[in-house]
Amino acid sequence: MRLLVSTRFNVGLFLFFSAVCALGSVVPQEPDSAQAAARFLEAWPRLGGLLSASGCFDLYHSWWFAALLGLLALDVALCKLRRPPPGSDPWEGLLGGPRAGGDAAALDLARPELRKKSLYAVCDRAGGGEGIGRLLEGFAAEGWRLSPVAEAPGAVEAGGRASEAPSGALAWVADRGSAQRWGSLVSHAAIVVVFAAGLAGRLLGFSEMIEVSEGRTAPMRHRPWTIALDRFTVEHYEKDGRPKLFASELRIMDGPLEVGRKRVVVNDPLDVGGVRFYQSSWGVAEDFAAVKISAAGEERVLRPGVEARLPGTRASVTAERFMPDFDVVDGRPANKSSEAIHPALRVRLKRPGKPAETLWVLNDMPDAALAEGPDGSVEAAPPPPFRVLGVQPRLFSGIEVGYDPGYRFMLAGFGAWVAGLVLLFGVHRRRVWVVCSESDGALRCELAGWSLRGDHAFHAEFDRLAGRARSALASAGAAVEGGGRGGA
Amino acid sequence: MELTLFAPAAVLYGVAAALAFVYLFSRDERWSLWALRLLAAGVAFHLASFGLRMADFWAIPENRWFLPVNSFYGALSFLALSVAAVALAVERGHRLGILGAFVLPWAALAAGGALWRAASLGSTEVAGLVPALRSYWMNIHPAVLMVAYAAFSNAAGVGVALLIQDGQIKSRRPTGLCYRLPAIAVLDDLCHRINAAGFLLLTVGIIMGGIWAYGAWGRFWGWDPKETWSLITAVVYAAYLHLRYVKGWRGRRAVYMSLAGFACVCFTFIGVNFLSGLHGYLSGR
Amino acid sequence: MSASSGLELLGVSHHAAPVEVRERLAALGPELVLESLAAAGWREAVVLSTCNRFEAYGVKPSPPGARALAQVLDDLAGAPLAAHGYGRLGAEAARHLFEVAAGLDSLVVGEAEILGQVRDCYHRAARTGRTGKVLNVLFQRAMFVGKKVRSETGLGTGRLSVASVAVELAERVFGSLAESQVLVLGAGEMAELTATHLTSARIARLWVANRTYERGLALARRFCGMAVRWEEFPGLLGSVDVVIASTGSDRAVVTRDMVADAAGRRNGRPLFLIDIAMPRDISDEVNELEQVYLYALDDLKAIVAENVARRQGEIARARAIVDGKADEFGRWLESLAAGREIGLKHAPGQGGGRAGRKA
Repeated sequence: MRLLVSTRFNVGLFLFFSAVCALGSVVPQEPDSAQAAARFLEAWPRLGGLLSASGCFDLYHSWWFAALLGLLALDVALCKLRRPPPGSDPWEGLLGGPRAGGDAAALDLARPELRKKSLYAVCDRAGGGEGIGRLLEGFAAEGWRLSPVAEAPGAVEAGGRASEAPSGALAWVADRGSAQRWGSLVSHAAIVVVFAAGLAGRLLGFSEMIEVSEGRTAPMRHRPWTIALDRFTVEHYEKDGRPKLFASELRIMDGPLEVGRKRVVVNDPLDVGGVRFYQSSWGVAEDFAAVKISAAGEERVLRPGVEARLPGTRASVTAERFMPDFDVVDGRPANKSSEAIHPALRVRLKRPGKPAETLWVLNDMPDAALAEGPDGSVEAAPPPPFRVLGVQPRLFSGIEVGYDPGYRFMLAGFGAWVAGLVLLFGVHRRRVWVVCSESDGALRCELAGWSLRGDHAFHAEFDRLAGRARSALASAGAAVEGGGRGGA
Repeated sequence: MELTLFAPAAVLYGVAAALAFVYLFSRDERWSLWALRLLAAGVAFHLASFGLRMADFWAIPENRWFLPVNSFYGALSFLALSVAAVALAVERGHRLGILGAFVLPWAALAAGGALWRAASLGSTEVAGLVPALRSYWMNIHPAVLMVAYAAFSNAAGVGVALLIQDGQIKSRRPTGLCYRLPAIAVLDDLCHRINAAGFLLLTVGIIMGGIWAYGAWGRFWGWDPKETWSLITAVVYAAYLHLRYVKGWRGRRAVYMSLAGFACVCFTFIGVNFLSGLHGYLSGR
Repeated sequence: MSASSGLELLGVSHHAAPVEVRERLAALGPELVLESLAAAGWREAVVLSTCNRFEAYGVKPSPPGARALAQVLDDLAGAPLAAHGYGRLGAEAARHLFEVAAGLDSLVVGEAEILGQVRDCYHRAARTGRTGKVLNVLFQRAMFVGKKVRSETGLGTGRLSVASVAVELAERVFGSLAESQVLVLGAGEMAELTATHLTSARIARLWVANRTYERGLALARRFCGMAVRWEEFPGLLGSVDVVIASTGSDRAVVTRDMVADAAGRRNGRPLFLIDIAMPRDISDEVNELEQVYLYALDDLKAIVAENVARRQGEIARARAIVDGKADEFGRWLESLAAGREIGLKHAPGQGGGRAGRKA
């Protein structure tokens, strides 16, 4: 337990985590590119085998990475839990570490330490303690938070030497900017909240990718809804052909009821009760809207699955299927991608007196065709008696559907994290101890200062406060000496 | 047209860096004075060229009104501007012109990199924004992160000065340089404060990236190399801050950590471009 | 150099004149001397009076009608100064003033104080209207030359005593020493000398620890510091920033373990240790610790020797600057006398203009 909260362990854990993350960025990750991972495995079989067995090809989703994240979160939580709550130790900055004994004992320990502070001032005054009230008021008036600390009973003191017997004294501590103490706690707690929200989102939420073709609908898995894509728009920049816009006009249907409708673009999703629909990707579907053919000098438009007579013959043709990126794999036709690189159309040709043929017409091979047999394999065949002029493809839109119940908590965690950091670095926490003691009817008040940002950041202000304290004391009666700071 | 204003800016940064370096060894205040003046002039030219770039960029209607940092050239140029601006602010504010020698080279390098990129491509890469980048986050997320990188590069320069000064004094044979560089405590304080500010900005930038990603793709974090390496950078600087505040690491050791963090920054900005599909300017994907 | 320029100098300095002569002149007070010179017919006059020199600069009217400078001063001093003093005319007077302003003529070559003294004496004379064109330009140039020498050569840099070198190094570690606490081990002469240098640099607090408590207390009182008992000093290592060790001990009193333990309590703040005792008070291995800087007497002496050598080299460069500017001034004087006044170049940032502008 103590190991877990030691700084050495923390820093080591941070660096180990960094190294693991770095590993994942150079080893090809399967979710990004399965081919690259496969290529790596081929090129370095031994190393690749080792990496594969330990899950390094999908490092960020492996169980041990999740455990590492959990350990980090646990560590963050533990470190903050074991520290005492902020502002509870009035002697922080003067006495280090925990100590036994009560307030009076602490005061006895603290008094000789006051003189060791670089920011130190003494005010002396003949007469009693009337000035103390005014001195303290001066702090309160400037917005310092004053709290009485301790009263040490004891004998009358003698002299003002560096080492002396402690005696009767009253002590206060004035604080400023103590909100800063919350900064560390808040920002660390926020990190844990963010982790937890992420975990909750992962466990309680879902995400799925649905490809729906234009004009069609597709069902959702995690909800009994249907997604309908009424219209899909793709635009490209003329200058370099890079994509300019993808827009999907979606309708989300719960049975007959429409629960959501929006024109969704990237960066502007549709939100239906927390379930969000994002424009993620697009492609050319294995589907088509229409085919234009020409035969015997006439043009015809074919619709999918609708048989039509070929002009100039007594044959009929039905356009059945379209593949944007046709390839033959293991002797069978297969679609490689959703980009229209090697378009191919499957038709069913019925010539009178002959059995129906299933033919593949390829854009790359206008003078030949492939015949598909009943078992699905293809072989070369003579071309059909018509020419395919063009295929009007149907586009599909890749809609990412996500539901993350932890979203609000995540955002709250982020906000708290930033607020905590701003508190931690932006607020100047400082304090002044005021210890007053009496001897022979003369009052001595010692002030010592401490600043989180170091003495030089507090120097000028402390000098000013000491001056005010001195004049507050003096105005209540005759001053013995102006007091002075040790040194030049 | 933009290049005719940017090239002089890059040259001015380089000359300012050279002058600042000479000032390290000469006693004459004029070197430092002119280094700062040339730096300011370089920033002025750079702003002007940036203005032209924005005009070009906004000629494409889909690009209004976004920052033109969607290309490697644009990003490098913006980074150089941030480094130069931060350097002006920090060094002028603290009257530590001597530190120019350690900080200005980064601005010159970034600007030189941008020029090289433009020269090798033959253009300044003014292109339309792809759909994923067409969001108001485009104007905040990259800018915040670049200012964070600028802060880290400044801190790295100050750290190098600290290493030199510490070496000088520890050697017990200090040369004249020792009396011209700022005091160790001053350098140490400055280095850590710039790093803390950079860390805050980096965290904010990463969070912004997460929120943007959630709005665009439905997930806060995808372990894309750029995301991953920015997280690594943040974790390394977090380690630096922990070691300083909790363990009292100052001086040499702290600077080594700070420089390790800066190495991560460099990798996040440059190296990742070759790895990342999502964020990579150079990965060809 | 024609004497018609009217510029003359007469002075005595620590080089040749005995203290009584200088004191007698200084006791007169600059106002009296200025009045006397004006009464004697001098058109312009400035008196430079410091603890080490007394010089009177004057410009005679033309046609000449003023009593000789030497005569005026001899009358005031009540004794002839010829044997102890020196006189200069025209550009040579300028050269001398430039040398003085550059610190080349000072007891401690390159000292900075003299420049301020030159400025003050000039302003005193200028305020009462005793200066005119020639002396205004002369003293403006003198201050310009003084600044130029100090910024372009290393003449003023480099401390020449072990104690001041130590303080300067401490400032290289901490920046300003105003928030630093200093611990002095021992109460002897060297300790006292270093304490003097330190307290003149304004520190936060001085602690003194000596084996004999009373001696330590006496030293502490002299510098408004605090005394602690000898056994208590290791506890202070956690909170002080500079330690000066000069006890008469023949063994090391500050060990590596002691400092390593203190370093743990310092939370990374640097510690600067100066060991001016012979034999050493602080064991050398202490320097190996992180954030701890240790300088022994030998190290400091080596730096002093380096500074002395460098200063010698700088003297030649300073002299070259002075000569150049003096010659330039001489040409200007001639041109003035010829009625065609030439311009004098100033470096940028020095403030243009000649007469009546403050340096």
